[in-house]
Parts: sequence; structure tokens; C-alpha cells
Amino acid sequence: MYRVQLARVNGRSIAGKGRLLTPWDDPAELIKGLRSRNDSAWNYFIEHYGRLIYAVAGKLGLKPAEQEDLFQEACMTILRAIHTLRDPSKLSSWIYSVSRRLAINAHRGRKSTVQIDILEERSSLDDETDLEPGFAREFETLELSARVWDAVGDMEPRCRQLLRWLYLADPPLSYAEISKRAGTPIGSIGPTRARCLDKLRKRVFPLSRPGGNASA
Amino acid sequence: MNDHPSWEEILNAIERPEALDGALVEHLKTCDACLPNRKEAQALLDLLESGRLPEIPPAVLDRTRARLAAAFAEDDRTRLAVTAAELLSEAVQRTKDIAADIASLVADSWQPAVGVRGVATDAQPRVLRYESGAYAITFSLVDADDGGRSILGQVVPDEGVVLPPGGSAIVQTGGTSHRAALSPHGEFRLRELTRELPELMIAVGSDRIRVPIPSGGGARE
Repeated sequence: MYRVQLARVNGRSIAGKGRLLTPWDDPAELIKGLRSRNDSAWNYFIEHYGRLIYAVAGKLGLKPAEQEDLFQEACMTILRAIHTLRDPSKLSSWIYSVSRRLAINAHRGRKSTVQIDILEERSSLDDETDLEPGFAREFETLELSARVWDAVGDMEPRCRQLLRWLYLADPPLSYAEISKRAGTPIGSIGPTRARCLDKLRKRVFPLSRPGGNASA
Repeated sequence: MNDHPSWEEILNAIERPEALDGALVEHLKTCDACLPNRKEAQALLDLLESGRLPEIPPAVLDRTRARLAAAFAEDDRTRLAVTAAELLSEAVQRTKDIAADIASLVADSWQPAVGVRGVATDAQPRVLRYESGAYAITFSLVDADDGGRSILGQVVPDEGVVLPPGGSAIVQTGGTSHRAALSPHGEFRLRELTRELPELMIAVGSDRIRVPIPSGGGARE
């Protein structure tokens, strides 16, 4: 009856040994898939990016049923508003922004909707001026999470997937599992991870540090 | 190992100190030159750790997928309804377009042709020939002494020689409709018409062709 597949998306090699996985790993491709209502894309989105939404929904002391309602409402809002997202590299930040607005509205007992035409990729913090400090700090942490996701999402496919497996998945994948999924020798994973982290640090910490002679 | 550990070794020292050479770990604790890299590596790993978010309960995922599927299905129904309405509108418009197919006058025996000696006179039958998308329509206008007019003509299809049955030629004059059946070869005759005939309508199958009749007289009988 439902068109949406219930099977989980697992990484699989789509072109040759060691080559990459589901096309939805690439945020730009994922957004295209979401806009075209591709079932597989939406499955991937809910399962992976949904964690960010669910985490936001869980930060304000809502009951589990309310948290789930908020999660579903955020997904529906994103469904309606995905066409407004201009920059794929800001996908996670945008998702966080939508989720946060809905969460704050729910926390204040308002109707849980967001006016789509005013959604921005980076919303102002005006909504949080009267939030309890604890909640504001939780949101700051999640906003940081969203930015990390965007930074990783913007990397080349091999690094993007490896870092997701090692650091963003919960629980993280072991080297053995990564070797099996990516078709690469276990011994190469450590050095590859180091190279990828070196690239990521140059993105995240753009100012070069003085001195030191460690190399990747 | 060089004097100072590599970036990878620094990462390993932070993530898996137990697997490393104790001397390396001790070096990192005390080396000022390695400190910036060590701090940066720690900050980066902490940043990544903040991005590790728990999975969503499977039941929540399933219910959300179901809700999205329902939304997609509703959107599809709406889209189909809109498409059906658009198709119907197009079909209606096409029908109107067919009904409004206007034949073009291509020859009038009363209009002199370039290069032909002499000129046509109104003593000769006035023969008019028209073309529409799929038919050639030829008829003569004959005016009677009593002020009436008749039309004798033929509808010839572009393809084939026999028209589908049930075709007719129709003229509306002063609120009165005059109709003549088309023969299998498209011939028709309409009599006792007035001379005010702005238009002849040919109906063949589902096709409707409007044939504007030029003003002026016809040949005398």
C-alpha cells in the first residue's frame, strides 16, 4: 500500500571495489532526490538526518509522544519547504533551523507550524531570547552538530563516508566493518582517516597554527 | 618515528593511547612544539563527537515513513486530479478548435488570375474552392431570379475518396437552419437560401469546418 520502503539503507558498493555507496551520501544529490519525492532519498533522509531533528525535538523536555509529533511535523515541514533550500552545503544547518523553530513553538505551547516562506538557512537567535539558559545551551550544541554535519557532508565522497562511519554514526563502525562495506584493506583505514581529518581541520580551523611540524 | 609524531600518530595517541608506544604518549604530554597539533586534533575530535547523535527508535521511523507516504499519496491524487482536469480542458479546447476549423479560400472564379487572358464575368458560375486541414471544399453559388440562392458543392478528403457516413452541409440564415446530407463522395446541394450567407458549415464525422462565404453575388441560373 505505501510507496515508502521500510528497508534500511545500507552502504553498498555501486561501482567497483572501494567505490562509494548510496548516492544520497552527497547532500546535493539527496536534495534532488527529496525534491523529486524519491522514496529511497526520503528513507535515507529520515534515517540519517532525522537524528538531528529528533535530537532537537528531545531537548526541551517534551514527552515521547510530543517528541515524535514534533519529529513528524518537522519532516512534513521539510517536505513542503525543501524547494526553498538554496545551498546544499547548508542542509544540516537548515534542517536544524526548521526543527528548532518548531521545537520552540511547541515548547511555548504554540501551534507547531512554521511559515515556510520565512525559513532561512541560518535563522536569527531572536526566538531564544527568553528560553531557559539550559535549553539555549543545548541548542548551541546541536547547532554545532549541524555545522559539523555540513562540514563533513561537503567533503569528497571517500572522506565524507569514512568520517560519517567513524565519528557520526551511533554506534561508530569498527575498522573491520568499514573494510567490509567499503572494500578496502583494514590497514589502509587509519591512514585514510588521518588524511581526511587533516583535510577537515583545514576547513574547520582555516587559520594555520604557528610552529609545529606534525604532518598528515 | 621522527623527532615529533605525525598527525596520524597524534590522532592515535588521543583515540587509542593504550595501543601506542608509551614513549610517544609521554612525548606528546611534554612537547611544546607538538602542542598546537595535539590541541587541534583534540578539538577536531571533540567537534566530531558533538555530531554523533543517537539513532531514532525504529517504531518512530516507521510511523514517520507511513505519514510521509500518505502525504505523497495525497499529493499524487491531487496532482492526478489537476492533470485530469487539464487534460479534459485540453480535450474540450481541441473539440472547440476542431469545430472552429476555418477553411481558407484558395480560388474564386470571379477573381481574375494573373497571366490569364480575359477576365471572369459574373455570367459564369461562381465557383469557390477552399482548403482546410483535411478537406478540399468546392462549391458554386447560384442566384435565382426570385432573390434566392443555392449552393452546389463537394467535399473531398485529403485521404481516401469516400467520406464517413452522416456528413452534412449546413447553412444558417435568419434563424433558419438549412441542412443537406453529404453523399458518400461528399456532394451536396442546398436550395432556397437567402443571399445573406456569411458562412457554410461542413460536418464530417467529428470534424467541423467553417467556410466563410465572400460577399457579392453568384451566377445567375
